[in-house]
Amino acid sequence: MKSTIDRLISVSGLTSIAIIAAITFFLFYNWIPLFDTVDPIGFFFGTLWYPTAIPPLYGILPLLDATIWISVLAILITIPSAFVIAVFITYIVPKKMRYILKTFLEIFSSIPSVILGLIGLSIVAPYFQNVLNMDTGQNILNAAIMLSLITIPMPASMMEDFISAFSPDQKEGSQALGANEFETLTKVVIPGLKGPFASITMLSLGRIFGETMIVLMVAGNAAIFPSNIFQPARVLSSTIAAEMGETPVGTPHFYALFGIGAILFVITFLINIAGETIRFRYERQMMK
Amino acid sequence: MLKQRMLKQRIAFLILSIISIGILISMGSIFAIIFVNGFSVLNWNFLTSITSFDFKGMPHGGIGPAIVGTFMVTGLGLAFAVPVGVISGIFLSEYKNRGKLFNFLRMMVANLAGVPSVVHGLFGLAVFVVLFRFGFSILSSALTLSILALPIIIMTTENAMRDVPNELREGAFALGSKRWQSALMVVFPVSLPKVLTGIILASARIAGETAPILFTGATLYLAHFPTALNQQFMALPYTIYGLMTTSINIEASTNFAYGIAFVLIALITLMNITVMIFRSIKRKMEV
Amino acid sequence: MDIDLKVKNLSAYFGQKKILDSISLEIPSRSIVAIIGPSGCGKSTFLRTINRMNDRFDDFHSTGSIIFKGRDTMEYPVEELRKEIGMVFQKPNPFPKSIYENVVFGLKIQGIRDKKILDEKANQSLMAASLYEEVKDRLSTNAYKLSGGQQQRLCIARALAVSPKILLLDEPTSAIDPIATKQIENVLKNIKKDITIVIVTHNINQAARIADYVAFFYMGRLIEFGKSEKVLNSPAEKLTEEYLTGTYG
Repeated sequence: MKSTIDRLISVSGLTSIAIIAAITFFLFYNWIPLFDTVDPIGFFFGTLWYPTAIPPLYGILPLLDATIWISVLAILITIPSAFVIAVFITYIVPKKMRYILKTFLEIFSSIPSVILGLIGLSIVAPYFQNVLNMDTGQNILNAAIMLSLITIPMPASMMEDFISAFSPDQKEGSQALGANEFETLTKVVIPGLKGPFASITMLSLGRIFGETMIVLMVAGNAAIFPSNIFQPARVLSSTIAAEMGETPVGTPHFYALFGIGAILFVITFLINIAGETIRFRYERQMMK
Repeated sequence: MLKQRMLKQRIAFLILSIISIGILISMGSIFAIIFVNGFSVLNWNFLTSITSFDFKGMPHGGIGPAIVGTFMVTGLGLAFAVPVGVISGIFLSEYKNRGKLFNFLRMMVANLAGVPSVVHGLFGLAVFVVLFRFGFSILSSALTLSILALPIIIMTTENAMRDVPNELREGAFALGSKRWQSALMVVFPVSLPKVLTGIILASARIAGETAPILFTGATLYLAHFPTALNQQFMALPYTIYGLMTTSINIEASTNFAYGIAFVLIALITLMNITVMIFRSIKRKMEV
Repeated sequence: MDIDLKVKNLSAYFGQKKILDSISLEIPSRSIVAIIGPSGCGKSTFLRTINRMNDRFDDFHSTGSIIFKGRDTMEYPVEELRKEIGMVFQKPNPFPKSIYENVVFGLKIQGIRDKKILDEKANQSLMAASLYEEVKDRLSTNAYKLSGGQQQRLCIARALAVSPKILLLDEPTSAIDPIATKQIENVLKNIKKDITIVIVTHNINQAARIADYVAFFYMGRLIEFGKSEKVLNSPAEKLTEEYLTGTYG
């Protein structure tokens, strides 16, 4: 016997599915009309993004290319740093410091990304330009560093949880065989935690990939194919943020920006599902 | 041989420590930079008065309307997100707490949490601004932010309710409780402190978001305090972005922006500290 | 002799695993029936099958029947059934609410709001559970402030407040000191004039002290059931005797 309240709760419980479905629908609904006027090949494989030129060009390839550059660089900084911090907290600092450091990481990760953008723009960029003599301080490297800083706390804290919880008897078993802590770490803990680390990497990548404000403020916003990390770039997410404010509803440019949003949504969705699946498989493996 | 291996460990741990401390210090220095630069701008006038720009694009006055705007969208966003989020969390913990639908639902919640905030902005634009005709307004932005807050509230509610021992549920069921009676009258009150921490964390998160409000209602300049939900509004994070990217007078704008950053971080850190205190009280009570 | 509960050929399974094997048993009105047996013999499962507490596990199912007031328990709406057949658990599980709110919880969820009825029922139930004198001046304090034994009597009072016909108790004194155990046993002996009691216990002495009837379970089967003096002093079955004399257990 289900009461009315039971039914009400059940319906509300499905809200997240409805919202995901609605997001998917409205992104595509506002994207498809683009192809009335623009050739799909020109959109997906066009090498020029000049949305306000005459005639406008909506090639997203340079944006995608820049997104990959920045994401890959940021993840290359983030994951090793997070791992190092996780090991530092688990093995090196005293127990009391563990709680303080994890709290600090948690508070740091709650800093709004726009503030990291502010720092990147007002401190890091001038330093790059004036002290390190780069052509411009607003570039891929700057964006990747600021992105990494804001991302590191989450994977660091998650990795720390896994390393310190990693079945103690396995650690002890290894130490009973005469291995010291570092050897245990490299020979037992790391191989044993490949699954979770892969999953954490995916989750971090999903965040970096979709982060908007930092890249918008510090990457320099040039829609070109970068050839090195000292060049400016413009990514998918920041393109939407930079241009949507001045784009009239219902124009091809408007539809094109929704198209970018749809692509962004689908890619992060896939990255997250991959991460979740790896985690799920690991958990099941552990249960056996 | 043994000595050599111990030496290896020492060197490895030394390098790890240096890198870690380096990263942690750079994180800490970000707080310091904002504190030092921001604090010098702060005064009563800065917190309460209206922003104005002179003909050179220099900001004057204060950030009163932005503070009010941020509070309004955050509060309103929570008002939408909390009931739905809490009920969804209850559903996941007390109703569909295993099986295929549960796994699917949970994955959807996790995915919703992973949707880039700019995509939320697009969704808000398409649905609240255009389709529902709420226009560029506090209401549209608050609704957009509420979707962002939703998965955070769902996940914390679910976990909080799951932590409640099963004996209490059984006690309620044994007295003839219906499912909702056990969930709302017994389990939920016990999990309330943890649910509240989730709500505070969610509000800290949406208060600092820029991308979702960029094209749903935030504006860089407003000559008055917001008075109705259908108006555009100023918000702290958006004003930082606007000052840093559109102003002509970079130096003056930067100072102003640091003042805002200080206020924003103070606000969010305050919320975080409230959560920490909540948690430590909880821990002490359990001991 | 009235029969309150008629169990016929009851078998119960968790997944493929058979926990109860064709139990048939009749529980007489206004008596104390003790269920004894080594751990893992299915006595708890049996108790929890009576008020359908195991229903919420997906992999649980049962065959056979339990007839209560002329109807199969499976035919009742489960909330109705549990109002009639109350339960007290091994570990005291008061709600983190006031003593008063704990006792009236079962009434409130039935929609009873009349303060006079609630107060009266609360006092009656607390008296029946011999807790009234100890808590009458602090009904609004949190139940967690009570000692373990008091908490368990509160749980009994809470179950009695909804006026059940049968009270099931699942090793109610195993987490409690001997003095508190004694108090609870006295409570049970007092209330059996109004209510039928089925109690699972691993303590044979407890069964001897309070039970009118004893059922001995072994590996999911009912080995022996009868008057307690008979079963405990001169059991008909060898298994029962071995258990009572401590050959295993």
